[in-house]
Amino acid sequence: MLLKVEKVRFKYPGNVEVLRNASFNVDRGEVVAIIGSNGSGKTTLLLIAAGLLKPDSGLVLLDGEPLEKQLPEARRRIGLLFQDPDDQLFNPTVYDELAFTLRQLLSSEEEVKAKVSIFAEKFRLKGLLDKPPYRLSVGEKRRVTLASILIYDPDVLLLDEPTANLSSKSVEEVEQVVLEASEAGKAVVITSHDVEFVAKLANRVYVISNGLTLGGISTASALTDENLLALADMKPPIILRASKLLGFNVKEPPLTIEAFAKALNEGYRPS
Amino acid sequence: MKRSLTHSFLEALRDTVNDLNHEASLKSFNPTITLLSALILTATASFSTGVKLPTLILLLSVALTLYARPSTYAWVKVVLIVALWSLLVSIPLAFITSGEIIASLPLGFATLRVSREGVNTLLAFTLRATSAAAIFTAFYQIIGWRGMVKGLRGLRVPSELTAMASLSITYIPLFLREAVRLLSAREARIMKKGRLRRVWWMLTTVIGDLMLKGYERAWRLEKALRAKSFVETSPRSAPLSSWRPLKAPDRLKDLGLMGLALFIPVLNLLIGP
Repeated sequence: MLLKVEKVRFKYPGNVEVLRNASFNVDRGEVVAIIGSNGSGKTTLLLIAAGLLKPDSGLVLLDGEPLEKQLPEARRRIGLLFQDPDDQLFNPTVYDELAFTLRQLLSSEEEVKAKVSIFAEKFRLKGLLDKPPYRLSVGEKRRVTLASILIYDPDVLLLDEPTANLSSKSVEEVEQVVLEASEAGKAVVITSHDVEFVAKLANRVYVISNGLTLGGISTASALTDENLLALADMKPPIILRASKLLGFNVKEPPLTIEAFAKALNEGYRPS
Repeated sequence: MKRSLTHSFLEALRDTVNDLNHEASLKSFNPTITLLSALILTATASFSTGVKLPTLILLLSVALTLYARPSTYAWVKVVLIVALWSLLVSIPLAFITSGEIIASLPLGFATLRVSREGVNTLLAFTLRATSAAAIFTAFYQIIGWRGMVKGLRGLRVPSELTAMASLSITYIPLFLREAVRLLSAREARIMKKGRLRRVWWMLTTVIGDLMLKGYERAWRLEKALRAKSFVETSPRSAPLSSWRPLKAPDRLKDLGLMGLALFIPVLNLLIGP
């Protein structure tokens, strides 16, 4: 396993226990989703996995070695996307935001400029490079935050609610980024309330509830288990509920519109 | 819906910061020389005696604003706010400065006496504060906030200070935006016209929330900075050379600016207060 978080406990000041026994793991090329209700500790778990918070007990292993011992150099192997882009964008311009990490890794400004240019093109940020990030729209800010972590090519992507407050077009762009990252062999961890997004992308799903993680099972098993989803204040994907209501009886319940369309094309009809 | 005075003030402040937070309007000026000139003239205006020099600096700031022309309205707002504020805080000077009495204000149990020297001191103070703010804002408009930060780096100010200056321009508008949102949420729930004290009390609860939000944002900012810091030392900053290369006429302008900034304090010594 590339990244393994084992039995972590964490309390915030004031004895607020957020995590009691939380674990998850993710390997190269895999997309793992962590779902849970608001305040269940998803963000805290990602901050611990990124080595930004120290757990009261438990372990975080990167490539089998304790992450703590590999810091700060190991941070270049982990890309953390914050839920609120305004928390993540702290540089005066979009260019500086993209160049921030490169200036630590590359020796000349020409190299930095060349790489920023490639990512600006890819994430449609060319015309925004001189703008202050806080003046951008939510979708643009999200593209900047994604580009700013992908630009240093980390092995692990920790994405905290990457689709929150985004338009459907921007959600599609995020989906594309996640797909490309997993195809490139990166380990991706996403926390989300968006069950359709999870259904489309995740290989495995963990549910976090009362500071405990449950599951770690396949997406199909997790998203068809209404009791498990109830712990995360979530319901199965709408297409799954619709197909159940219509009386579809298929071997693999459709979790996405694409899977539903495929089932229809294969001749399944309501019973 | 009619907004509260606090709400309108915060909105105006946010808009002004936004207006001032622009790209350099004239990239032909060297940021270090411009900032140094700004500091010299601001200090000269602040520490001058009499009215001639601050008036001259005020006129110079008007000329610079008209020349740069990014947002005259923002400049006027800053100057007016500073003028009103300094006038307000310096009013006691008119009463406490001893000298020739020009007016008396009987207040029942006591009489307030206005002295000529007091009024002169009051006006001189207001003029000094206003001209200092006016000239600095005018220079600020020429090179923009980013230019100011580059100028600070050019002056070899410690990198921690320039980083803080750079962060503040991102977070001041965010902080103000949050304050406006919190106020709106409270105002939206004021259903009937209450006593001013009660309404004011409700609105002041924003301060506690703002402090908490500020703390949370700072906590997350620290995490964001650490998440992208792969080395223990501060990351390398953008090179100063990314500023547009200056040509001969630009260098002449810089020279003129610097000459003017140095000439005005000398002028003060020559012409007196």
